[in-house]
Amino acid sequence: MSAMVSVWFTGLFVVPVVGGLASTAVRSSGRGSQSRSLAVVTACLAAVCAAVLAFSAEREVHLGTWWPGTGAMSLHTGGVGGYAALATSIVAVAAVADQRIVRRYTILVVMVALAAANVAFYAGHFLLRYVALEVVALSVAAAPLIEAGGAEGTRNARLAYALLRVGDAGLLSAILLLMDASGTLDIATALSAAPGLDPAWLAWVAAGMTLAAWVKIGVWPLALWKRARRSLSPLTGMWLYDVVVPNLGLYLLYRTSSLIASSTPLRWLIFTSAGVSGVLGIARMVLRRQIEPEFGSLLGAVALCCAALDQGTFVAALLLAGTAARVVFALSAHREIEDLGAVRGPAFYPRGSAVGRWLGALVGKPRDAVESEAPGGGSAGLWRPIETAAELLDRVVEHDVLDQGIAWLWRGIQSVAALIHRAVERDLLDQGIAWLGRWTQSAAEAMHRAMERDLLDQGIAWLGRRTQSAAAAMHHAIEREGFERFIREVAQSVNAAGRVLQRWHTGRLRANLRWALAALLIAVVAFSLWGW
Amino acid sequence: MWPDICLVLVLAIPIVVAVVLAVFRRVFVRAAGAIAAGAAVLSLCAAIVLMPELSAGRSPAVALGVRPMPGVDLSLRLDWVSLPFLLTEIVVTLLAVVYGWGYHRPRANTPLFYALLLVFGAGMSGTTIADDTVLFYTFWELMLVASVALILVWGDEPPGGPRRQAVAFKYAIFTHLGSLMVLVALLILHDAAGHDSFSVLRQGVTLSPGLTTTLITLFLLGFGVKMAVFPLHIWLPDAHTVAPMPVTIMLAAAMLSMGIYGILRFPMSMFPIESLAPFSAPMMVVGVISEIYGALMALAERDVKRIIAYSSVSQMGYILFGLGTLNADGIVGGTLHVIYHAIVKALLFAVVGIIIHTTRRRRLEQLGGLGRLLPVTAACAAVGILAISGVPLLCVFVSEWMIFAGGFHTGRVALSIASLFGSLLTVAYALWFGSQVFLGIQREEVEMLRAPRAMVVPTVVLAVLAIAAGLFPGPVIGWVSKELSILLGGIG
Repeated sequence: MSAMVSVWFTGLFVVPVVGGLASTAVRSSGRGSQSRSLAVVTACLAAVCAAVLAFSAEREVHLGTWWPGTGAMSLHTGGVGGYAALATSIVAVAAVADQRIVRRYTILVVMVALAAANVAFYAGHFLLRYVALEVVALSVAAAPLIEAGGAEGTRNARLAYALLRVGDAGLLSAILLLMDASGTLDIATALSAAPGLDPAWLAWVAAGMTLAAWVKIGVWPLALWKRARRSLSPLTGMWLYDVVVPNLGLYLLYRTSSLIASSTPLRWLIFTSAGVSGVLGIARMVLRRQIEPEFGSLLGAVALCCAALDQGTFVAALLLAGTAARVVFALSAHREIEDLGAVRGPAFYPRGSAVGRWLGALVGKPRDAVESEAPGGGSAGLWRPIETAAELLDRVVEHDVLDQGIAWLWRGIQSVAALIHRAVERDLLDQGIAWLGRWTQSAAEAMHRAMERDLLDQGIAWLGRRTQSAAAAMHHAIEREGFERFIREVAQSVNAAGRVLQRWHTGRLRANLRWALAALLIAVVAFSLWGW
Repeated sequence: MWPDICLVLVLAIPIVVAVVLAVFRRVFVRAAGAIAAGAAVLSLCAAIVLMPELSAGRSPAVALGVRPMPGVDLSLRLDWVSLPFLLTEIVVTLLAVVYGWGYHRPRANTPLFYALLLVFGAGMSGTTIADDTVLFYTFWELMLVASVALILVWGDEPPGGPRRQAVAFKYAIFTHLGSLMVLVALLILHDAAGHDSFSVLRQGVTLSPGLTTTLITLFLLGFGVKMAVFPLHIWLPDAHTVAPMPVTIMLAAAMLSMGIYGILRFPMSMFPIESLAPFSAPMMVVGVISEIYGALMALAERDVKRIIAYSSVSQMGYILFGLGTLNADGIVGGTLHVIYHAIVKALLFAVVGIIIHTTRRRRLEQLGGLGRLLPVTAACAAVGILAISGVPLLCVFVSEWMIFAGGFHTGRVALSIASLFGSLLTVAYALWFGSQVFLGIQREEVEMLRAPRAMVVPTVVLAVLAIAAGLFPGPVIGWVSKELSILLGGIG
């Protein structure tokens, strides 16, 4: 039995991808109708697989471990996820069967999104679910690039992916916190461990899950990513933007409603935002006389409130019943549907569109009734200020707050980045370094001047001069005044004494001879006496 | 015996070939690129031969028998910390050399260019497999000298941009400043242990707590300069912008990771986890700041090369955050991010090189609509852009997941959430860069040159690697996880 389940799962995930590739290849070779038939068959096969799996008993299929430490990834049958996958797949069959204005790669994107969405619905492992959601987000971003192209398509693709990624960042933070607490990425085990979390952490987990669901469901003000659908074909605009992603968000809400309800501040935030979203949505529905594009947002707001009240069953009911309603209203809002009545093929779009328009007109009845009575009636005076206020609110909310806000946010981030870049990188770092370089050079020059020229050069010169003068002084003092003078004086004294002696002896030869004779006599006497 | 010879060959082949190219440069003007690529391939083969040996639990080691002074014993060794870095460096060198065939037109000094590329690569490989501080520092400086010479002689000077001499000087001064801090720390370690062998140092060095803190600070600052994390990144944008593209690829994809290798090899291998615990929060905070700051700067830039350069500052922030967690998930994620960042950054720079080569434009306002004119390059760029944005099934997703998981394990929830949501800025600049260059309309009439096959083939190889590494991360995670037995006293 388990083997059969694996086969159905393979059909559910692999058939759309292979079929999408084949359909794209056939279309590239110029056989448009065969490509369409192939896509329809593929979607039907996927829907059959989804139907079988949705009504099969509860089972678990292990896919193996992607990388060490994350545990074995698994798929689970037998829950709301199966019904959600079935609902999404059935709408896919209807949407693909009626495909008209599609580019070459549209079918591939749609089929990849279908496979990824089905993986996300059946995933019993957070890593697998996260990967599947990211693949869906990439498909959502790829659609405007492929179908609209140009500057608008690029801008819409960027916006859609960036916003969905914000939601996924919330989901990832919640997953990692749960993994830290439970030690596993198995969804059921991790969620059951959540009540044991620290209250602050639990609040983070609930906030992360809510953010992810909020973005995907497309509740104001995080519904901006859905703006791209206006320029898309009914296939991608209706199915991918109005069915697949909101269903994934609602399913996430269903699985985590008890977590979300556990955080009181979060509950109040949800109630307040849902209230504002509801008032805005109803006002705009009445003004435009059509239910979309507000219906999805209103339904999402209700679902968020149900989750905040821990009413998971209601969320599941909104998911399943709401899918059909969203399809009908989405068709009624699509620009291109107006022309589809005359086109051959299944009448799903025109009929859906007609029902949607009829309901839209029904919503606009109060306004029409008031307006028809306006010329003579007293209520016109009451209606006009309300209408003006609602239009003003609509413009402010839609155009000024969201459109301008997102543009302002982007410009703001870029301006702040540019400012920091200029201030830090150029002024502080580049110029700072340049200044430091210049300062170092000046300091080095000053030091060179001070040390090498002033202190050393001049010092050495001064020292030389001082040494020279000292030497001269010493020379003068010692050589000339001291030693030499002494010698000179001694020489002079000796000279003088010599001259005195000379003077004494000069001209006195006879007397001197007498003295010599006397001296000799004395010597002779002395030697004689000594010898004797 | 063979493993030991191969370990020497990993280094010897590129160095010998570099010397031959430099000496006989007149002979090898045309063949220099092919010879250099051959040397890189042989070096890679020698490294691959070592892997079974390492898997069998034996670390190939060679004592070179040179003792320049007492307590210094030059030796090489390959272990699980070295392996991911060694393979990354050699592969990046090989791809950069092949990319150079298309980027660099043969001239008289071409053999010198390839010789220096090989020396640069050998410097990184030597740093990774050195088993003693003297050899480590020698190779550490060798890669600096080679890269400075490459920037100085072959650097590009974008109009209105910085001069290559000034950039080479700035790069040399800043990174050398970091090297000096590392040198001081190494000398203190050597003095305390009485020996320079890593094996001796790993067994434990008795230091006072104050000195331990000083050493770790010096290592983190010194290696932080090489990693180019905020605010030590000042040299990076200019060096990456001015360096010739093959050198830029090597700088961004391989040389930055040397700083991470240093952190893993010294503070995280040689000190117990208690000594590093006070540095955990600062490392994580600096990591988050660097991640956000680098992404913001990339958003503010208009020069395509500088956008990717600033992206490196941001990516190094992720890695520092991961290492700062001091737990298995964070460290393995950080090391894994080194490998994946190398693939993706080399890919993005290769794409930018092709854009600049074919259009001779490098500012965003001059580019646009190139997706139709360069479909293969655009597809490769899409892979790189999605990978760096952390999209699943591409390589960076796995490492980011592990880094963030490591962050949450520390209990610092606010920091981890800041890091996780900060990654949205990476998505913003990556999408902005991709959409401005490849989508929309071409803003200026440009006569497109043909992209040389030698530039396109490595780019495609890198894109395939980014996908394959994302789809099958198991084996690489298995190798990288083995480093945990060596780090922080064996946290694995």
